[in-house]
Amino acid sequence: MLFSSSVFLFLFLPFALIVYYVLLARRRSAQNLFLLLASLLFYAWGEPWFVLVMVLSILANYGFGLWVHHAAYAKQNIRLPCIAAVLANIGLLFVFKYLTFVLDIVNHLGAHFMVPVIELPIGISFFTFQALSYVLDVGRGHGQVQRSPLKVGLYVAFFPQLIAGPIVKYETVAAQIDNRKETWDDFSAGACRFCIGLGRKVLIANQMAVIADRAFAVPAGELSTAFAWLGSIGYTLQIFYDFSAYSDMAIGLGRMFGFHFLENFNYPYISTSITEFWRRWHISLSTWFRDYVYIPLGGNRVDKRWKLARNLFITWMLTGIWHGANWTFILWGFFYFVLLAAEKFIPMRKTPPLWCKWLFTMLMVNFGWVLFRANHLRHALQYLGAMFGLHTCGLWDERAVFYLLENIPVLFAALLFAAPVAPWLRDKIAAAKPRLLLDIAYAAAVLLIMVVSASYIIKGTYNPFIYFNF
Amino acid sequence: MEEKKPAISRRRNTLTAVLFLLFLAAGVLLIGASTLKDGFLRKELSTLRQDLSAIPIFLENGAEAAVNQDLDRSHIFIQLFGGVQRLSGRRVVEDISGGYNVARLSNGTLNFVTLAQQQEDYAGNARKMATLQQSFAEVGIPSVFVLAPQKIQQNTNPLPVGVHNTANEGADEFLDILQQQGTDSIDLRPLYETGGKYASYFFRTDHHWTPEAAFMAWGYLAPTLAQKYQLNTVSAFTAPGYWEKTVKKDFFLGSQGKRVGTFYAGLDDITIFTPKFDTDFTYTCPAYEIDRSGTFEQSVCLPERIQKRDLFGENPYAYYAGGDYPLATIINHKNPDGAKIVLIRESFACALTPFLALSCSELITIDLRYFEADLMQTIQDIQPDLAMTLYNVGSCASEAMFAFD
Repeated sequence: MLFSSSVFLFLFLPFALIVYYVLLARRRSAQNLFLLLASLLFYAWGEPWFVLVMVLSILANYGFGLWVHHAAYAKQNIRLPCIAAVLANIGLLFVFKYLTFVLDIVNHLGAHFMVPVIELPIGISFFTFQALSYVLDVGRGHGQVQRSPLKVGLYVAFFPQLIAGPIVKYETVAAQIDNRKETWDDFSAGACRFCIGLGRKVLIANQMAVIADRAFAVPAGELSTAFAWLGSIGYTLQIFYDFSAYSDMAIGLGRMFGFHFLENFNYPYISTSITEFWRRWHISLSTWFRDYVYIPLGGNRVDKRWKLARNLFITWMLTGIWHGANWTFILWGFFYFVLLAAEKFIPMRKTPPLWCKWLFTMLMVNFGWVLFRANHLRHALQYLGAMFGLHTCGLWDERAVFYLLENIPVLFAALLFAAPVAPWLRDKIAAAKPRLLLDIAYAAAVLLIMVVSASYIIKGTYNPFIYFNF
Repeated sequence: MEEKKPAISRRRNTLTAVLFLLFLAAGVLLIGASTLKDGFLRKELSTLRQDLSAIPIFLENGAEAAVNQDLDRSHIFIQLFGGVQRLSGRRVVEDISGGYNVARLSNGTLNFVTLAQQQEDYAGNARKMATLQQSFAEVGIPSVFVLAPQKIQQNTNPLPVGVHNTANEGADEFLDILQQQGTDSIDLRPLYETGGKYASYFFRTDHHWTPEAAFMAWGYLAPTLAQKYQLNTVSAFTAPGYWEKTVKKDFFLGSQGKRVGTFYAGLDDITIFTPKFDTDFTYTCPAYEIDRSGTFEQSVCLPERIQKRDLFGENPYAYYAGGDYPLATIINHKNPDGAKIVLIRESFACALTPFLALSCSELITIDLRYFEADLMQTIQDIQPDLAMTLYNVGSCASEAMFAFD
């Protein structure tokens, strides 16, 4: 089920809110059980059979959690249950996400394995990482073991963050499963956040998706340099608004039910270095890899530079692979390893001006997204070539003009709000008077965004969600 | 996304959250009210009750589509959507299926456009048409292909930059091939291209020609058919003075308009032609159990289509001839000695059919998109005086329109 769908907005969400706040008010166990069942329904709506895979994952990790806890309680080595949990979870991910890719590679090398057709359960990378976080955090003592599988289920499957994150670490919400406190302040702030997220997704991301999808669908040799750049910028904006808007909606919905998730994006496109970009982009994934891969490998605190390079390499290759079974993602991960290693190991004799640093960072990010979006490596290279005038149909073409002219207001808004203009405005308004009028104007504006977004949804416009595939 | 801790007004959030909840509640009420009145979701659910195998379709798209239709029964959302597109300067409103993208032409009117390059086989269709006409000739049935104009005039480009329509060039190629093959054709386009009023012959929010344009086509065809095929019409009937014209103002929202609402491109008037002379027809279509007899305005025209102004629910263009039927027959009781014509047609023929019926003793219309019987055999059985095919320029590339086998 999509957040930006009428079934979610006008059936699922109102039903969930009424049952949670009216029928089950102040009955925490019943509320938790209901949220779990609602979450399973939410997932099953789009993946009727794969919900069983998720339930299996929940039960297995519930078992691993108990095993780790008992091992720790009995002062035994917890390494064995932790390794078993990692193997089981990564094994599950491998079968569904990477098996066919690996078999293809092996077959290219001369083997003759039959390559099965395996469908990818939506959001498997997200819920697998979240489930693994439960076991590892229990092992690290960063959260209490759950005696009830229903609570593990709620942590893993809670519908706001189930299929596209943010990846909520168990330590972040362990206490909230039983002891959260729903308040009107949280609910209303969550509702505002959800509405804004919905608007960013429907009114900006989906429009940028049209430009990007058209540009990336143009066959090699028929793409103009201008359209290649427009398409790559469109995709750069689409992926940011698509994913961060989903996080906005997830965080907002979480707050409406009393959960506090950590922020997942912090205006990444104002970054002036790649290191800063990754501190601001998909924070929950970077944090996951930092806490469960990079730091356990030794992180920055290693005695030799090659070890630091190794840790970076492993972390970024895994980050690339996490996104998908395709050489494009592996190269994308390697690309960021190279950039980050360069920032760490190559000292700057003279600090360039800030705008130069920003421009360089954005160009690299943009090239990275081309790799990320391309169907395969050759497509990526052809597309990047077209951006530099190689094998194009010219410097510009009518398609570039058409998509630019059709989308000027949305492009302008997308570029504007990718910078922290909204909080700047909010602070200005907070200081302005009369407050009542401004508060009413704000509420009316958000309602307008909501209603216009609903009109796009009801009309049935293009509505892809990029991160569902991961 | 939070850059730094903001000073958020509690009252602001409260107001927003209350409006948000009211909006959700309004949606629930709209769906609920529609469901009580046999709405779309209710229909989907009753289908599910009878056939559980429909669950995957229901989950994938059925439920969402039904809820959307229930929510927008009053078409407020489509109107808002169109208004926003207009405000944001969009010239092309893309359709999710890709087949019904609506473009606003430079004169403000609407037309369907394709953004992706398509294989359009005008030459292949022309050869099929010529072969069909030659088959008719072999069994002694005269035939003619009539090309109706499309909304985009020849040698003009009212489309946004980057969007192209080459249908007129394709239709030229089509007519050239018919000529090379020695088969008859009539090109109606020049009829409308003089006088600088080309756009006025088409609706603003629909791709079809207006009843006035169809009347004009009849006025041209009637003497042409008489001259070429000796199929005579009472010539006075084609004179405007024999007709009463009633203009229904802001009454029609066409196929494109229904997809983008009235704020995007406005509304259309539609003219109702009523003859000032006696008429008596019987109009039958077995597939739709249509059997109506009476005067022009009661039989070959359907007054129920214009009974009330229903912009999104009704199609006043179909006042003329009712719509697209696989096979329909019109008998003109006032012209028993007139010609018997078979008209292979598409929707442009709707507006022409009632007028053309006045030139005939019997007019049989066949729409190949829905007709499933053997065309050649059917026409041989009818033994018409003329087999006429009337397609507009845009239909000349359609595969379905030329599925003669």
